[in-house]
Amino acid sequence: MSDLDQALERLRARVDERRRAGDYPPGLEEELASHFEQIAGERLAGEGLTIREQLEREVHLPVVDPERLAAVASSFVPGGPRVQGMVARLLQRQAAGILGQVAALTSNLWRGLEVVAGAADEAIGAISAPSPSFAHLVAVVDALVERVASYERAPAATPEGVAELARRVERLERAEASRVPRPWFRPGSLVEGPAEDPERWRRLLEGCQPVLDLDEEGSASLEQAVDASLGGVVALDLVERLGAQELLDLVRETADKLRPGGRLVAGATNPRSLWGLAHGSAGRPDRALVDPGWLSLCCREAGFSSVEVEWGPAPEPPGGADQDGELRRLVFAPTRYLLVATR
Amino acid sequence: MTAVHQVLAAAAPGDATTNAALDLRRALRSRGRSEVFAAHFAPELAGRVHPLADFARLAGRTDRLVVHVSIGEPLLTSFLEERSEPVSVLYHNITPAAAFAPWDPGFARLLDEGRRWLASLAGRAEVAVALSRFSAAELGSLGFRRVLVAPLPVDPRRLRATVPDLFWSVRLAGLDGPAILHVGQVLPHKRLDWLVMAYHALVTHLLPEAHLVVVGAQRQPRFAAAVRRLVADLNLPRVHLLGPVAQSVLVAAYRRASVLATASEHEGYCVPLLEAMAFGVPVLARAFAAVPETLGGAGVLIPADDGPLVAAEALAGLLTDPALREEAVDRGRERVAALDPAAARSALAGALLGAA
Repeated sequence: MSDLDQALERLRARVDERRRAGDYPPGLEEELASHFEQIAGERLAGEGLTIREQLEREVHLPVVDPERLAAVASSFVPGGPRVQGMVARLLQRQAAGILGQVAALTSNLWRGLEVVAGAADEAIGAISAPSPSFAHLVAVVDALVERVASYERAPAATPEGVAELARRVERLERAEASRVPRPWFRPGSLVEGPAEDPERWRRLLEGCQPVLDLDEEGSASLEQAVDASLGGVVALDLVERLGAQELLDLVRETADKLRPGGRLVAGATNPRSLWGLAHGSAGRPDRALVDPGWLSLCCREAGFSSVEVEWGPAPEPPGGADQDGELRRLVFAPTRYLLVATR
Repeated sequence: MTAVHQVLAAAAPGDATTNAALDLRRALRSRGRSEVFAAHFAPELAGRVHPLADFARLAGRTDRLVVHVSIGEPLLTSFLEERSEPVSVLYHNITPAAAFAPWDPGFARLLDEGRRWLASLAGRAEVAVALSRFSAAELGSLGFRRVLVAPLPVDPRRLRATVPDLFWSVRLAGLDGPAILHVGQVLPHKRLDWLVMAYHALVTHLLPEAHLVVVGAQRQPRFAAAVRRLVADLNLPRVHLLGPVAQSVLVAAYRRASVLATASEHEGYCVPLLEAMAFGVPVLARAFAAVPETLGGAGVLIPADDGPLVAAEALAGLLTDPALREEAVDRGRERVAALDPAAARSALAGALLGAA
């Protein structure tokens, strides 16, 4: 018997002790099981109910006298129609949000769709042939009408109150209309760093055939490849476009697809170069900063036996060469790096 | 070059059968051509999984079909009737229909059909591979001639490399007490109701500050509603039903968990047990179906006839007794360290192709 089994024996004995001492109420487990059986019984008993009966069990709407429908139509309160118009606009805005949430909910609860479909069938039947269901629908509509009518009777329904409410609604709508998302960067101001020399990566992959260029073929093509079938994989413009998890997955997938000795050549902006960050594409919202140290670690974790970083060309410093040396190293560090990982 | 294609009833992201098929494809592709076809699949798997209807167009010459069996699907049944290739069955196990019958009679019928379909394959399959000895015994009883056992190539260490979701990491870190984690779909045979009863006893009589975090899709709405009602009736505000989550959120949950607990009464394998062990989380489970095999003595196994109170005491022990906790965590780490996914993948592929 293992230590864990012995521990379980002790725990079981402790339960018996607690029972004898009255720490656990007598019959607790049976009571809990019985309670759940009762819940299950109630849930399953509802199966045979109509949609309206189920709604009546779950939803409690205020019941309003159908006579009130006429009360709204005959209202002579000053400003009443205008208030109702604004209330309708507000309700419309609210309804759009609520409907959006309902849509999200029903997409998750596919069972809910059955209920909605059943309710729609029943409603259609109710409208075409007056029945108790129709009276229920009228009661629901009454509740909404009563809610709208109550705005009329509110103190705000004076001419000044109405004008203030109108101003607020218009201000709200103006504010929304002006809230157009604007990009926080100006694409035209971006200047790409020194272009990658295609000859350079070709040299790095000499003798590593076949080579899969992920920039050309797309990362999905990697998955199609047979394990350990590739000699080289090139990704000069891809890794910065990936999320953290996607990058990890890509490196692992590449490691699987490369044969022993095969090479991954991945390029990215060097986040340690202030010049590169200021003038390259690294600040764009669709790009991530990929530190060469992090990428190297990912490659080692994925099983690459050798990982080296080759720095790209450094930019030409503008305005003469009289800057302080330390500052030059900080600002004018190479803007790009090439990672070379060998299986 | 051989061509071995896999067919399954349905494929969805995160689904254990789908994951197994995609993982197995790697091993099969190292031996030749191999694709995965499904009668139904989620759109996000397009390109990785092909429609079964496109089999004739995409598969080409086929040397063998690997059929994943986990539920009945008439489209798959009729597809196989029209094909003449040799068949290997990979049995993931089919949940007994009785667990679903009161909650979802339609689904229970599908499970029954699946079991009948499985039995009908006994005469045709050259080899049937079960993921556990528990499932192998069932295949043997159905008359399969050649039954092999090959566990899933699980690599929970790989999950550890997943970046945890920041939002959920912060939210779960904010829980003011130990967190008991349950990972699995909210379905009748998983007995979340039983676990809630054990948790109720725990927080009422032993450890009031404990939380219960439940991760998994609520695929059976009536059962899920009944569980939610039980939680409400028992006044358990520290129960958190997260629903289906992304892998990054699952990792955040594992990193926060104090204990992984499952009350499931039917599992063909139960991968979350191994995943929890990889994160150094002690495990509590019940001795049903293939759970004891998967656990491998690396956690507290509650015998099938013990009630929720014993589970509550065991949870309290794992949360408060450092020696017991350390023992369970160490055993778990040893269990995970002994897993060799590459060897398991190769063994599984070898078993399925063994008849070739």
